[in-house]
Amino acid sequence: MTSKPINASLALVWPLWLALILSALLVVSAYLRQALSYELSISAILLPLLTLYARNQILPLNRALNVVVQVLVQAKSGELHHRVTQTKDLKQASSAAWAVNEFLDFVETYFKEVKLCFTRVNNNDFSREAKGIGLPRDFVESLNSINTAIHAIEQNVDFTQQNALTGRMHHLNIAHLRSDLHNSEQDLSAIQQAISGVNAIAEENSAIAKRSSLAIHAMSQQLHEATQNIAQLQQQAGMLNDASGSVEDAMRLISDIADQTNLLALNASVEAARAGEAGRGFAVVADEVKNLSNRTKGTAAEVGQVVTLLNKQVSQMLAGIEQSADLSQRVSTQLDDFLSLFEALECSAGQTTKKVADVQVYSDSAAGRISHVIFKQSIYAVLEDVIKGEKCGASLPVESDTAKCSKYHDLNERLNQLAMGFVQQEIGSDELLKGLEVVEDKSRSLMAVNR
Amino acid sequence: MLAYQLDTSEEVLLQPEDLIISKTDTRGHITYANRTFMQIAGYEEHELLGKPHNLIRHPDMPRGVFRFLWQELKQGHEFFGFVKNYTSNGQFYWVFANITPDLNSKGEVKGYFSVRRRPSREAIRQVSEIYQKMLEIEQRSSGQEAPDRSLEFLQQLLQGQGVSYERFVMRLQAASK
Repeated sequence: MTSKPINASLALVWPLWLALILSALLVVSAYLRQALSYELSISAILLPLLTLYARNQILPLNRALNVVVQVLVQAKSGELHHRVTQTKDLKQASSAAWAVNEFLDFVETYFKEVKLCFTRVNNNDFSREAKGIGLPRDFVESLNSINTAIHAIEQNVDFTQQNALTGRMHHLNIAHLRSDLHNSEQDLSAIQQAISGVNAIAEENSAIAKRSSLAIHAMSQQLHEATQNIAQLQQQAGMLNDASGSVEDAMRLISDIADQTNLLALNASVEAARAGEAGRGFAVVADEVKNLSNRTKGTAAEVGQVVTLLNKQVSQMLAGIEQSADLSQRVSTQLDDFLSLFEALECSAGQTTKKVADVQVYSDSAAGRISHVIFKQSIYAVLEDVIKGEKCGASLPVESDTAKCSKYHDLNERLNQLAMGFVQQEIGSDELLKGLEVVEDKSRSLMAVNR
Repeated sequence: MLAYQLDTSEEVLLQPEDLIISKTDTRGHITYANRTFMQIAGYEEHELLGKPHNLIRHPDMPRGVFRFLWQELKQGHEFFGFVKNYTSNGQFYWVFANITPDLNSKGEVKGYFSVRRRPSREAIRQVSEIYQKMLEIEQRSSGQEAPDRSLEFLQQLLQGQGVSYERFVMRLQAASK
């Protein structure tokens, strides 16, 4: 690129012209005063010649200097692309011009390399390496450093992208985790309610079983008493049966006595007839005795019939009583079975109640744990948003009722305090982290215990 | 006939510290050449200034490469490539050229800046074969579209290897210094 030389040559050589004019004036004045000597004439001719020679020597140098200065001034203002050309005209100053040119070549190449690399880096293209070959050592080293830096930037960009990706994934995960946990918490609380219901039912079952057991026990006792009564009745009926037998014997005896009495009365009436008149009265007595014995026999027969009837009925009653005894025996056995059944039921109801109570403790513990985890996650989410600067004056999560009633309540409070401190910039990130570590430690050891 | 003579001529090898620098105007006319350029190409400054840059173009170079060069530069991209040049006395020299558009403060192209460095020998070996094939394609094609045909060949070749042109030449240059 040709550069316009600064036209200062006239300005630079004006003293030469002045000297020339002065010497001419001196020669003219010496000539006028007729004092022009031979030496003076020579020197008057030599001086202009010398002046001209000096001018011819100085002018190219002066011009070269001007061009070089101009190129350097332009370079200084950032235009590195200017060069000194047509260097042959600059004669012995051309080496200075080439020194400047080559210096500028290096500098321009260096800056081009840097610029080209970083233009691409700005577009996320890290494939363009700065090429140092051919440049002086310092330039090469600098470009090598730039290559290292670009490589580092590339890794950083990769890392940032990965980070952004994992960050987004983390965000998704956390958001879902929180909603999942929330669902689990709701499920658990439903389970807790159901368990409370089951517990109530189990307790009721237990109570009913106990009451049934008692009732059956009472029934059993009553039945036992009834059985005893029936046995007594049976005994008494047996005795009655025996007694009716005795009555029959007695009746037979009475009937026999009546027969003998009748026979006696017959004999008496025979003897009375033999005695005739004397025995007439006696015959009347004998008749009366005979009538009486006949009536006695008739009555004894009637009683015997009644006793036979009675005997039959007692026998029937005995059979009925025996059946009753049998029945009550069977009922009693069944009741005993019932009783042991109800006792077993009572026992198992009791065990159910105990188990349900255990389950309730576990589910309470799980609910507390989950609500604690949810609370922690919510706190972390808010902290993350605050750190990313996405939320100013973020509102902190509120503890759920389950969390409040759990053994984690103190830890939750502490977390809240830490987060609040950080949000309101009362504590720094170091203190926050330290606090969070302590909380997490305690949280871990609390969670290790099942209830 | 000329190509035959040049093939048998001697190669001038660039040294690692050699940096050939030249500048052209937008039409490709030389506005600056450094002394390394002059020494290696064998020209005086006044023989170069104002002359078209293809003054040193070697006939072994396929025109398709220069077609691609101009395509890239017109889009404001820089161009890398292995170029065989020839000197004023009929010798030749290989360079790894990097040409970039020179922009003024308004972003307008006002010329081109070319830096030529020592190429890797392995690159020259591989590139010579490709250029040879491109030349053959150009010789078979009619004048105007010859560079497009050979450039198509080059691009298909690179596509087959699944690599961009620039990545390809960078890799070649890095192969062995």
